[in-house]
Amino acid sequence: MMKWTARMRHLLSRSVDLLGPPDARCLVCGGRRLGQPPQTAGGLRLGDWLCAGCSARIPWIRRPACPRCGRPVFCPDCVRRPVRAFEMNRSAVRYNDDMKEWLALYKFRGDERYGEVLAEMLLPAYERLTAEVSAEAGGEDAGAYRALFSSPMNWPDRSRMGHPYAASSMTGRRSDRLPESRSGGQIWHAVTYVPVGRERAEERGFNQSERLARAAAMRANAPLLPLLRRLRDSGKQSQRGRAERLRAMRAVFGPDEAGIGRLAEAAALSGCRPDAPMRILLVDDIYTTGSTAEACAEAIRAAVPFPVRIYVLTWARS
Amino acid sequence: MKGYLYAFASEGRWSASVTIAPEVDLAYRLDAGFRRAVEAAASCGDEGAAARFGGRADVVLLLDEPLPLGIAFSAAEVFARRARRVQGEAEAARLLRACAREAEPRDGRPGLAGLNRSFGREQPAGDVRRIAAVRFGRASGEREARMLAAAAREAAAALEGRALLRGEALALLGAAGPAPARWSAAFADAALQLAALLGRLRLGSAIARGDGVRGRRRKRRCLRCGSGEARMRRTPCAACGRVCAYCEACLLLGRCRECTLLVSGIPEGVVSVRMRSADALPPIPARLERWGLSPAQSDAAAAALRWLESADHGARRGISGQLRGTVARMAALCNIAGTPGRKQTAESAGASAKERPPFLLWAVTGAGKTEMMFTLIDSVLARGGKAMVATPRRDVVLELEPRIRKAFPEHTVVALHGASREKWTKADITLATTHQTIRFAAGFELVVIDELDAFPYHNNPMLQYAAAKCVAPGGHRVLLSATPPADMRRAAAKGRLPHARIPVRYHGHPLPVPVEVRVPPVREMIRRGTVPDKLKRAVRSSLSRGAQLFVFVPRISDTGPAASLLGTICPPDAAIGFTSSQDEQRTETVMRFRQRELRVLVTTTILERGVTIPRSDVFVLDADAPLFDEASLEQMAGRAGRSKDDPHGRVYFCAPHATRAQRAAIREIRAMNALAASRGYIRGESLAANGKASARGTVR
Repeated sequence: MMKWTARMRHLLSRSVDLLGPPDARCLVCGGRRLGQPPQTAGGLRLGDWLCAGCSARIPWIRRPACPRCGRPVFCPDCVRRPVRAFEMNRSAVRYNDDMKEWLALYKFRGDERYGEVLAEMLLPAYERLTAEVSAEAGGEDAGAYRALFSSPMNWPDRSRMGHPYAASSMTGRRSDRLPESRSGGQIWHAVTYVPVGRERAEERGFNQSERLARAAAMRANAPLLPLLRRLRDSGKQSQRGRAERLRAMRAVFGPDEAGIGRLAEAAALSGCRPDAPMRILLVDDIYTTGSTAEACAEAIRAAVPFPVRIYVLTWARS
Repeated sequence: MKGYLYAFASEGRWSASVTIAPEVDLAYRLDAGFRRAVEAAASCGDEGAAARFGGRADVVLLLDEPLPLGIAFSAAEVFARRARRVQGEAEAARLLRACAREAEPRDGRPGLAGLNRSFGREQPAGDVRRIAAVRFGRASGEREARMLAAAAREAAAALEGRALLRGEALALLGAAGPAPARWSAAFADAALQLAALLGRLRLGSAIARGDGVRGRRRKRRCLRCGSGEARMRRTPCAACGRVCAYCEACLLLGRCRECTLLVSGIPEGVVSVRMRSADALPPIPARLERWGLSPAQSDAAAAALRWLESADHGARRGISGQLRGTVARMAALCNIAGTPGRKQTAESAGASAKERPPFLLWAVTGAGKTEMMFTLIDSVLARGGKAMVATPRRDVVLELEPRIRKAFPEHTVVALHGASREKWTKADITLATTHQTIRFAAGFELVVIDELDAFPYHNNPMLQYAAAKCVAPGGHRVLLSATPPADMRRAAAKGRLPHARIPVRYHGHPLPVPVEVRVPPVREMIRRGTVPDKLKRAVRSSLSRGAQLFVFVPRISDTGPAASLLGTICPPDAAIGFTSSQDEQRTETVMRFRQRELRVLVTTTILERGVTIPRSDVFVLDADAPLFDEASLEQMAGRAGRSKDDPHGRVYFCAPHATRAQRAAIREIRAMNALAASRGYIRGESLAANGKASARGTVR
């Protein structure tokens, strides 16, 4: 039915799209992103997916109030329960309604383009956690640590439309980031993630924590190791109360022998002192009460025959 | 999801097939007792249908390792193309392995190959198992077979006319979801598989790969929404352990992956047409009486009915062609291995699909399309068919539902939209938002598409594919529009598109002809803070005659300032509101306008359709804006004079100069009025008024 004139018209109407950038639409609001995507130097490439308005709405956690769980406000949970199996948690954003929607679009609807956005958003928190840990790890790094926190431009700032590292005083592009060596391999010996059950993985097609962890591992230049397996499905955490969550999480995770084996190999190869603990980065999408992180950290500690310190990196803190 | 690929020989001919429940297939192919039992239980009297498929096999070669569905089905297809040359079991086994290997994703970027390697997937195609005899079940094989056959029959009946992903199908069958499971998922899979073997429905992967013959690249296509390679996104998939594609276009209605099972409730083979002939029905005029239509409405409805009912005779002759058309679009690629006749089905599909043009009901705004639609639905239901009404917006679905229930009290009605709960209910009349049509296949004898020129249906190939797909063999599509797109008008004018025009409103008064008013652009008026006298006079006179005012502006940002500008010239008791697509309180604002709390509403094109206010006048500011095309202007003008009590609303196109769109809209409205007058649809007292209105012309 389509005549050649109609076909020509169709082609002509599409030609404008062919000339422009391929997908210049904001992932969240569907509005056209005008002009060049705001590529920030060495920083986040959120401009590839989001328009300025939507990336400005990201509720970054700029300053954690709780040194342990990374909550941006005072945290009664950590006061009540000071001893944890993990060292600390750091999250990139607050889990507000916008973020809830983004995560739902990713996890439940399966729009995997959000996976890339979320992974990108995780990086500032990763950098901060790495800086804190490196400061803690060696005295010689303390100067760098202080420098990091005395300069305000290392964190996404609302006044800069949510484009972190768009530092005005910085000259070199790479220098906006932490030096590679510090965010690199010797801080993190391994990166791992919270596993999902087989059934859930098949239903969803991906494990969002694994995807986030992959991004962090690439950044850290550390091996991504599956250290855990989910022994049974704990059901949906989001429909439970606090006490219930803690109870449900018991004995959910078991060791993944292959991953643990590779961790031991990595430990031997790294050549650090046998008594020095290995630093493992555990990645998950949300930190709510910390029960998942706690359970995972306990399971890793129980499975690994040498001392480890587990740090938790999450995308959102609710 | 994964499925098993197997080849089987019957009378020396080799075919391949894919199964999600291998024990069912093996028993069906090899266990004569099982086959007899299920065919007896499932066909219930229709012996011919079951015998035709000849599913018996002498030997089955089963590939041990399950393959992702997309790969498995594509391998079966490759096997079918080459099976003619196969001699002997060893060769068949080799071919089976080769097909499975070939179907593995290898194409495209090196990064993907690397990812596939990281999944440990370089050498697929495990061992081939030879199976020559099986017995289904344990001690009570016969009873189990009967149970399964009953379940298969039930599943086929429940899924008839639908196109559902496995998760949705299981939810429908009560095997998943919040309610306690009636069947286990495995049992439901087995029932689906058996129903497919019996030819009662079709199983396939939701995204099919086209055949890569003659060196062309294999292009993927979503079989649910018809989207092509451009909307496919390939990601590593934990469900199948490969890099597999999903369809971004229909993500809103659940994710279609290459490895997802799509269940299509299209029976295989010759379809017994559900609908009876119209000969037994009373004559058309007698049937139309019931609806109390105006003369123009009855004429158009009669024309549409004649088309709908006469087409059936031709349809019965060409039924196989139609079946091919509907089916082949989505199902030619599914389950290819079977009767050799089906290959031709796929080839001749394209041509016969095009043979069925829809019927266009071209009715002016406020013509009473809904009642005309009722007459068509009535005809189809009376003959035992099912009807679907697809409309772009949810509020129209909600508004239409009670009216349809009232008009057809003896029939079941279901309303489907994003938030509706009765997703899986079967009904005689299905009312749905346009997107929901994606979940149906060959389910309806009549599909009415409302406002075909509106967002989202217009220019959306996905929804057009979906709407065409849900027409049953021997069924019809009817399109409703006040402002059909240009190519459709041309087709109608040249007689290529059957259509009926309704040039007058149900109340028999002519359409208000827009008056052009020469005023500066809105922004200029806002900047100066003054309104030219002629516009001021027009607004005040409209208000003083007791009308409510629609004021349309092209830009969202102008709604607020224009509202405050109008506030300066309106009497203080006339409340002014404004709204747009970005207004959070849009629903409330429109509600206040409907309740006459607001006298003036400044808005954008979002309200150009659907809102009916009894006594209203229309002002289009910046009518020369490129956003306001002919259709949009006609729709906006159509907001005035819709009620019987105030049929002569006023319409003003306010712009600094004339544009083609404005002129064309006015010309079209005049032409419709002239057509109505020449056919004698216009009431006597209106003819004079009409003449006066058109003589007024431009206000200068």
